[in-house]
Amino acid sequence: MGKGRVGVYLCTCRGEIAKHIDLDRLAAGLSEDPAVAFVRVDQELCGPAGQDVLRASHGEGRSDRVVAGACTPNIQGLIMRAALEGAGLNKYLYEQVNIRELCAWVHDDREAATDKALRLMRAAIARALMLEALDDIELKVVPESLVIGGGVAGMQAALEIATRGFLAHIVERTGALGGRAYRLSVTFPTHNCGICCMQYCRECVLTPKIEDVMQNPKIKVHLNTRIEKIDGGFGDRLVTLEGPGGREELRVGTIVVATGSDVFDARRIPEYGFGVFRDVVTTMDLERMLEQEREIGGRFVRPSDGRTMPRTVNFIQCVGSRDRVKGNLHCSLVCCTYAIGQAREIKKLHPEVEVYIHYIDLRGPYRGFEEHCEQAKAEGVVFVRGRVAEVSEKKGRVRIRFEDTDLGKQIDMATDLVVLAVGQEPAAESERIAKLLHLQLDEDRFIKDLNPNFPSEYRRGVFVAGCAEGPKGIRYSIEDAKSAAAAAADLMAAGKIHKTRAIAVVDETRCRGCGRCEEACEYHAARVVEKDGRLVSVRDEARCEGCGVCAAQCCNRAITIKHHTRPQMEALMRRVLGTKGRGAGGKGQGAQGEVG
Amino acid sequence: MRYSLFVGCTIPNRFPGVENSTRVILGPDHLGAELVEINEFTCCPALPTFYSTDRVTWLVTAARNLVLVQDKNADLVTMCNGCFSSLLKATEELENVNKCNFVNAALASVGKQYRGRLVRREGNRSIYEPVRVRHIIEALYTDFGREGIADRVRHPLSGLRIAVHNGCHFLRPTTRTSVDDPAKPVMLDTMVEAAGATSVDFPDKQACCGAGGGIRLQVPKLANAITKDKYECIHAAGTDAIVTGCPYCLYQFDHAQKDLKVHPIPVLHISQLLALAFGVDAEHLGFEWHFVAVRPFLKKVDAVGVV
Amino acid sequence: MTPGGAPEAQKKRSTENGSSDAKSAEGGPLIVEDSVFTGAEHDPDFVKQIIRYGGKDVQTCLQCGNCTGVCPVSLKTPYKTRNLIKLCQYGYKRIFFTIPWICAGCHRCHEHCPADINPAEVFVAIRHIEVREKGVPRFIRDSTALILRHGFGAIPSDDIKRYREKEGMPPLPNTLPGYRKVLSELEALFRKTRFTELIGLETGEGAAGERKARERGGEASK
Repeated sequence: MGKGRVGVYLCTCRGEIAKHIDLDRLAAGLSEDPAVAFVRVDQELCGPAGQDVLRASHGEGRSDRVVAGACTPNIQGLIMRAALEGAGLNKYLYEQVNIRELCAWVHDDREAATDKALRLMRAAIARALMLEALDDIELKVVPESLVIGGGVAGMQAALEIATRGFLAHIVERTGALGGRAYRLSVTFPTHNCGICCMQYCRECVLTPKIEDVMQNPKIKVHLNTRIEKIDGGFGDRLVTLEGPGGREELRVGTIVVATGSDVFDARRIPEYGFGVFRDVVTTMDLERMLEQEREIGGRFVRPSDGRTMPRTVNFIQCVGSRDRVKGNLHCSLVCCTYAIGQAREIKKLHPEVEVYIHYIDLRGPYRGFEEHCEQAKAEGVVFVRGRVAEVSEKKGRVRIRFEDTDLGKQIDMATDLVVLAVGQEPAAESERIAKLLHLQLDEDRFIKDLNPNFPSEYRRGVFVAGCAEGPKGIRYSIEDAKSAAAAAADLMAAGKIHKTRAIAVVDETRCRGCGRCEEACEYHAARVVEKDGRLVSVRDEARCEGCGVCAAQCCNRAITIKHHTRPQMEALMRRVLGTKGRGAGGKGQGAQGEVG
Repeated sequence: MRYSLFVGCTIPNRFPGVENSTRVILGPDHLGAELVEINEFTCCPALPTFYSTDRVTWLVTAARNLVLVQDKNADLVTMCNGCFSSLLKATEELENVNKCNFVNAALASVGKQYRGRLVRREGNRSIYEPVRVRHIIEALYTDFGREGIADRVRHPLSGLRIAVHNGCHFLRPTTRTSVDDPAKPVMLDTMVEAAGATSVDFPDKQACCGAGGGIRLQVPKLANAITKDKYECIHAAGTDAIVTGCPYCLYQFDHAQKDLKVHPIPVLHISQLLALAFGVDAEHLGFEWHFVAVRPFLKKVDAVGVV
Repeated sequence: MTPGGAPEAQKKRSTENGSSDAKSAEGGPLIVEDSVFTGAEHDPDFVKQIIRYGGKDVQTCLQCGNCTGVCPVSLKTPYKTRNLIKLCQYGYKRIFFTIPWICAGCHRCHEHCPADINPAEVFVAIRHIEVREKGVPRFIRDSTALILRHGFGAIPSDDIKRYREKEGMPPLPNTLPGYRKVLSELEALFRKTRFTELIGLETGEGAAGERKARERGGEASK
């Protein structure tokens, strides 16, 4: 064992790493490094036993900094780091190399993979020697919340936040709360009108929402209002609103994005003739027809003549969903459910109408869906497997042509009403808001989860709920909103947050106040101010994300990113590349290399 | 306008009138386009024979035809959907550098090289673009337009109801270089309207004639069965003639009507229809090569004409 | 497309084939042969082979039936586009070798496919495989031979020549004496890409027949 101060831990990852990397050779190679105090290999460093090993071993006091060769530092790495912190290690003195994803999983050649791991580990050790102990930044969280969107998810989130005693601002683009759910005539699984999720009505008084929101003294509703700008950083954001009363500014600690989704524009699938044939409608059009039929009567008629009741109705599923050519690749998740609901409603109002549902696969991953489907069949709704190929018009009646894939027969039938079950797709407004908040979008252009397995994990005090994050039914949007709101409220209840110190700092003696960093910073964290009669750049700790753009822009090397300083990165790079330099080997002061 | 006519196999051997009427309407008496004669063309080559069996041979043979046009400063114009589709697809594939190099390695054995058409020189660099492959319908529509054609009409076909048949390969497959909208094509309809006739709407307007892909050669009954459906739609719409831009569709509609023993509807190529509208004597348009007699239609033209 | 290219005998044969197909399309007999697939038809590499010959990955097919709904051939025959793609997914290659080449290549299936499969191109790939593993259909060999001999898929008749003269049209290229050079170029290219070998125009008797035919073609053009 060497006499150095770096404790090195290697994880076999229950064989995942050991299978592809010769850990014995790796450990032996690393032991030769004079900086290394010891090398330990464990089965599962992130497990309870592994954590005990880390704590006990570090507790012996032979090392003052740690390098681990294991999996990703962003998930399991956090657990390992926390264990070491428990044994007294400053978390900024911990370095982890992902030898699983970067070496074991991507290379077939065991020897080469081991060589690569060895090189990366050595580089990490070189950097670890230069790490300094730091403490987190502590920021206050403003005890107010902004909820973007007044649909079912937004309202639920606001109610939840208000219940926990914090002020919630709902900003709604349109003139009314309720979103799309408010316009539905029947909702799953209760088969009541969508209003039941929103407020008291003559049919149901289960979950009065809109009234609750409007009456709640802790909720402030801004209707017909648009979000112009979002400024500030974690815990303290300045939001500029443009509403009927003019410009307004809010200061909030947390934000819940509940911007919902848009309905697919059926005109993008020309073969279905939406907008050409009047008897081709979307499910949203049918909602209005059914609602009026139920309330006033006599409104369930063919749009082409406005008089006769359709004798045959055909629903076409997956319009714009699961269509990688003209629509979206994703499954919209709710269309099977709501189309069956509408079909049943038609059957309830007019049992003599023939109703067909044309589907590719029936998908309703919801509790109660199978029963819903069975009841529809019992009520006489006919399910046809096979997507409709095209809609045409002949002698004043629309015709549909399709293959019944169970029969293997092509069918060309005349019908009176074709209903396109249009899918959900990301709202245009959602994308704008995501850009304002620096949120990532996924491949379907919905706002991306931090970890797809854990909903409502926050990102700098911003939470996403409902359809903004992906297609969802009402119940699941509400669930989502509840968990997002709970997480936001917890953050505000704590009153403060810890943020990594790995941000930019300015050496004011070197700064000439040129302002390039201010132009480059997309978080508005860099600002040039006058100080003692000269211009210097300063950083807002709350806003800076430590991305390093300003440091790269600076001509005078006045800007350093803490925990990623030039000597640290140079030592790392030189070891990776195998070049010699003043920075390599542990003494990094005044390194002027080209790398870094 | 400099065009090099690519007549292909079907037109000169089955409907020479189509070639003649195209030459006449493009000629100095009418639209006044410059025609560049190239005598070294071969088959385009036919998609079912070559593209289905060996894509490499197909591309090499098509490239050989394209090489002949590349230095002539002319657009290659075809009156056949098959030739159009085959050659257009080839220009698209030849934009891929690897494929183009591969093809040129083969062409080198006959002393040829495909570069495309020279657009301009930038210093020592020469900038090439793919050879422009065009269909007669698109060339007439884009280069002369509805007005340009209507201006030349001496004998408007007003009152005549025409069923337009675009044919599959004029519209599909849709790619970057597609010329007309496959869901709602307008070009052929516009040309028919420019001649003064009415383009009739009928169900399944974009359906296949049934002959394509070698079906006519292998299973004529199947081809006729497909044609029958479309014929019935056209017949029900009440039309005086079927007009198409493809000699093979023309052949199929023409032949199938004889086989099916149905009420005959004359079938014309768009070039022939325009030639009639331009006042060219029907004598020269080769209608004697059609199976379904065109005479009833010609009578109507005289009856409704305003000459 | 090569109309009029096939010799009369071949034409007649294909007509007969056509009639038997049409019959099975209208409804087969009550009792049929045991139609259980035994796995002898199966080829696990079929999907990969299709991709190699330029088709798309058929495994992503949703089996929605859009292609069949618009296919002019599926409407008239027992062969449904969707079923054929399913057979590809299973790797039942040999079944395709028994089906005549009846895809019209109209590409309507491609226009309507939500999964971007392009069945028409898949069938092109399958024809490539069939040509290499089973053999070339007669009508392809005949039309290829014709193109090799005359440059085009048809031989100009005397009537045609008279018509062209009467109308003052330029003579057809392949009736000009200089066209021999073009034919030799074409032959060189076909040999270079080994197409003559693939189609089977080079083997002994065929090659001799081909030469004879070329001489006849030359005479005809004089």
